[in-house]
Amino acid sequence: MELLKVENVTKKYITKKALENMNMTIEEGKIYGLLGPNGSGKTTLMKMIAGLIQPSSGKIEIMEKKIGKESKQMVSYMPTSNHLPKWMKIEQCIGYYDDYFEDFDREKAKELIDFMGLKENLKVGALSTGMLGRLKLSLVLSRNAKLYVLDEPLNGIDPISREKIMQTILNACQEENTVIISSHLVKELETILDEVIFLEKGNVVLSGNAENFRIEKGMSMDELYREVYKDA
Amino acid sequence: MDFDARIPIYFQIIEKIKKEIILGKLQRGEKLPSVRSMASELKVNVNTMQRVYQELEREGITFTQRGTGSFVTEDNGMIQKIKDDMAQGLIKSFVEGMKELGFDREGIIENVNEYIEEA
Amino acid sequence: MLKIIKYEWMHRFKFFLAGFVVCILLNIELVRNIINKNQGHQGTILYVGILIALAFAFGIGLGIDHIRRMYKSLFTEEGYFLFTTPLSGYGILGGKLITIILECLGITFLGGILFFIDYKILLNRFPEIEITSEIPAEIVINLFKFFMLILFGYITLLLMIYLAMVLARSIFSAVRYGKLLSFIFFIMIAQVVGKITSYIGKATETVVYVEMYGDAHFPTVTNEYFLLQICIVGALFMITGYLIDRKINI
Repeated sequence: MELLKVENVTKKYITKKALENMNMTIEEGKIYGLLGPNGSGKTTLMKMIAGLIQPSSGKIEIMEKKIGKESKQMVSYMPTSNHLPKWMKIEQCIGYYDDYFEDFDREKAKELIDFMGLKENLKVGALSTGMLGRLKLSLVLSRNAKLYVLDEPLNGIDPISREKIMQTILNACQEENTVIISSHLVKELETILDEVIFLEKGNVVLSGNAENFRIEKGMSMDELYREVYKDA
Repeated sequence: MDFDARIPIYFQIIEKIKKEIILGKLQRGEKLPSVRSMASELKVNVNTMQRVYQELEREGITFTQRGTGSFVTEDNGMIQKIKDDMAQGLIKSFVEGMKELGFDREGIIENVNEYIEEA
Repeated sequence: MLKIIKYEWMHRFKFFLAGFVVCILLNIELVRNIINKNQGHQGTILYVGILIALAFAFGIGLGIDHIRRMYKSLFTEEGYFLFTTPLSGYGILGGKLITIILECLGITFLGGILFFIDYKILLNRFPEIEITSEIPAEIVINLFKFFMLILFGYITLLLMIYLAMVLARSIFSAVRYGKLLSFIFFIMIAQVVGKITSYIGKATETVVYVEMYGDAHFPTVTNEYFLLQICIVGALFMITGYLIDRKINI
């Protein structure tokens, strides 16, 4: 079942085209890897799905609805940067999410935050990059959303935190959840990706099922990544 | 479990389960853990695990009882076949590997005997 | 939408508390001075001066803060949260404005209470200042109108600034010199609104006679004027809300 449809989407800025006539379909119940080097359009696309940016042309639909109030209800978005107020304590952040999102599970959030080794009375401003990454993910995955959009969840994260983050994503995502993870670190994602989408200069250059690629090409997704971008 | 990312993950899991059946770690007729719990334990995608179970069923290594779950086959013949197939696979790659090194039939058998005696 | 109020205040209650304390101290000092007829004592004048300066600072600070709230949501990453929640653009804008209006009302109300307490205390000491006659309804109504005028004016100004900022982060975001364009738009809108308002203001101006103190009279405005103000605020709100809802690019 089609969850997300991107049709001929272009995004123009003054100096460049971030996305160029992009077409993509996301099906329900799978974990997608949105892969590509910096500047390939991953973050732009994700921000569009989250509703922060408008396409210059083309359309995006989630469950056949335009991006807006209703789609935001279905999408749980984790940006690369810090979107939480620096003055808030972690326990207040839980309340923050709980207040604004109906599908937020308080108990799950507390569990995840505990699992991540974070203390609830810490202020956001006092957290290291790794801790912040873990916090953001805990909050975003504690929503029962139809689509999780995670922008570079492993960026700037130490190896131990990365392991915890991967485990959390795996555990939180069951058959009914759909996840799009963007990354340029592919090794850690190897075993959890169902589908891979390779972006270059704002367009899809290759996409398909990871296991099928392994059968066809005898390559890991990491090797495939290097192959796709070797001339870039 | 450490996976070789160049080979399909589901394939590697299937091999692992086959081994466990041969070695008796998974008994005949034993119930397999749920897709979710296995996926969680092995740290793989639920869909990948689903594919594993589907393949096992397709090959007749397991059977599903509606509502209860997946079970290892009770068929001794099937279990023997799995063992034989896996052995064949190993032998095939071994022999081909040795041939690539330039060994002929006698050479291969000689080496095998030597090794077994020393081990 | 009302959650916006909670989180704006959660962060600022210390600021409000401090402002309130300063006002109370100022009031106490003023009343004390009047009662004791302290004249020109250096220390007190300095003290009162500082308090007045602080009170002003709080007022101006609050005004700047009102602008900063929208700025932070539009121009920093903190805004990513608010704009990915299932709120409509109108809901987001409405929430922020309601918070601001409540703050203005709250301050006025507290000011009124302080003034009333001062009056009662001074009444004790100087019974002659008591207002014995009935305060005519016109005065009350006009006081109310005056207050509403200021409030509406402030909201209109704020909305114009918001609109300019939203323009810069929506339809002008991918345009060269987008921010400059937004600023120009702001000036233009301000001119238009200003002209309309003053024109209608002159046209609907009336004079109210008050029978209390002899021949006292003062000018005021009619209800038609307020209707116009409401329309202007409504139009600004709808445009800005629409841009936030459908055209945002942050």
